[in-house]
Amino acid sequence: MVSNRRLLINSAIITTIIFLIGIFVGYQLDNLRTTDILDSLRQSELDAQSYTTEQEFFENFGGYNCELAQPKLTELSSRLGELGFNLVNYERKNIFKQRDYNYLLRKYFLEEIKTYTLFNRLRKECKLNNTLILYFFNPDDIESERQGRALDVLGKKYNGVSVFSINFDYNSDMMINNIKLYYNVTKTPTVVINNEDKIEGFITLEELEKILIL
Amino acid sequence: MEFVLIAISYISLFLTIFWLQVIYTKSDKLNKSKYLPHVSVVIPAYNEEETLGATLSSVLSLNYPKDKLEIIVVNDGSTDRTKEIVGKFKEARLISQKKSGKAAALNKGLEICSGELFVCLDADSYVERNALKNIVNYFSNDKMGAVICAIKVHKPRKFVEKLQWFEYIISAFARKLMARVDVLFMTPGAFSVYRADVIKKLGGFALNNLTEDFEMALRLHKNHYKVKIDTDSISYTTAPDTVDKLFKQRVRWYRGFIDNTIQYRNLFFNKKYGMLGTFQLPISVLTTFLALAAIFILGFRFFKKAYLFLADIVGMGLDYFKLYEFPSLKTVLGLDSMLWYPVIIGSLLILFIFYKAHRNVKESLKYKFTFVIYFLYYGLLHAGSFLTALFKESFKAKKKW
Repeated sequence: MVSNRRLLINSAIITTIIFLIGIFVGYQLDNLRTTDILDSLRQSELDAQSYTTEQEFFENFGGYNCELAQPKLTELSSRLGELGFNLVNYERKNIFKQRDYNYLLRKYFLEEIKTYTLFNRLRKECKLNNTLILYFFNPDDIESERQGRALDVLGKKYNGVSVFSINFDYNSDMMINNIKLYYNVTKTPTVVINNEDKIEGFITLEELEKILIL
Repeated sequence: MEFVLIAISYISLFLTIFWLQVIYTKSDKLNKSKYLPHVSVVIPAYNEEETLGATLSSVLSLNYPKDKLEIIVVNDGSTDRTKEIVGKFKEARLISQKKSGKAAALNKGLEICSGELFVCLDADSYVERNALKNIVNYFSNDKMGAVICAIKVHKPRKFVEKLQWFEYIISAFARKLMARVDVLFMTPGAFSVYRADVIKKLGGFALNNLTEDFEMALRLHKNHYKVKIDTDSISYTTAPDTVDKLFKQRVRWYRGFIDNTIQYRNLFFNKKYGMLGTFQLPISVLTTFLALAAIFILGFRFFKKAYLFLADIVGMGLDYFKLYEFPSLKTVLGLDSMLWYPVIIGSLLILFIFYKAHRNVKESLKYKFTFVIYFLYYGLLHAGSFLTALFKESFKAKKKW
């Protein structure tokens, strides 16, 4: 008969093997997540580059067309919104790739601010009716979680709404801090609509819709 | 929080694998002899008129020589028809006492019984025909202190009884595995057989103890006697049929567990008591607290998600469902592997254990809906009753049976 001591040792070995397999699965999932985010970021980067190149071309040779530019930026901001959702979602489940995520987050926020700036300029120059929302959130805050979903629904419900989300606690890039100072954001969630209305604290979908209609 | 969950997962998996291995170890061979000692069946009864008759009938139906069977009913101050019911069974002897509790009633029976073996049978339990004949074989070993049988819930009709049906099946299997490594430390009231002279020598059942059967099992171990289970022998118990009754019973059991664990703390980490002292008792306490921690952490996450879902539904109405998308690779990537991997592995192992537990007592899986509820939520009842018991023991609340 197998001794109890042997049973305990076997159990420890088998459990450790199963845990190691789990760690391996977790590591592979982390790899797939970072690859997925990186692919999307590269695509967004190319889209932004394509837009700015096109803009420079028309600025130089004349014939700038607002109708051509708007769908491009709308698509770009929508892709960035989806990317941001995945990035926050994946980062929470990340075990091994913190350094990679820090890099991806920084890259993402820069890309987002760049698109926000381009879109804002386009909005002014072409007198568009689009709504640009800058959303400051804290990933560990329940109200921010709710606000994020309300804004997601808003973006899906109305074509002309683009949401750009910024992690309030992200300190690795001075630019984010400067933007927080610029808009005087002190708490989360905070929503800035069209560079004019600033709403601090959770705001319901219904209230957001009312502001958009006004 | 994540670290606690990982630690809980590791320990749970370790224990599951340990017990899975025990399933496949060979048990000691039992010598089937013609040894048929004189046996005293003692039935403590307090207002059990509804079940006592059937309990006595089941004892009289035992496949065991009647001249070697002594039946004693100790009436613990009943105010119902107990006396009248016992009177219908001429083979049974009735002893009456003022209400003094189950342990005192058992001691009264122990005092006057003449059997070599002493059987404790609750007045709301029924035993299968061959149980005693199977069990006496174990007593050819001089160090055998007690042998219990597998318990099933008698005719479960209500949902609460069906929940306990699964619990008793799992318990029987767990006890079988525990007995294989000599760490079985409970002798429940629904047909436990003791060596009479041993428990007399040990001073009988402890008075003022909420779980005198658990205490007795620990005392047997402390005195280096063995406790085994024969899962081919079955007894049926009447289970609480409301959540309130069940909760009260579990609080009492947990209070007994806490009280006796403290009383027998010198067994813990004591090599003299083998696997019981160095493994089972410490693990029982550790897993109780780990299970509580797991329930709290997962419960907190669940309630947070439920709150967010409800708040979103109230705030957004049907628009909320615009967020839902068909599952894709991103859905899989979004899963929390630290949570789901152990949950999937653990669930598969637990389902396998459920399967083996049912086979152990020759049952097939029934009450499937109840099974799902049992699998997902029954732990909450244990957590609630354990916390209540802990609270009551901490403040030395009055003991109620």
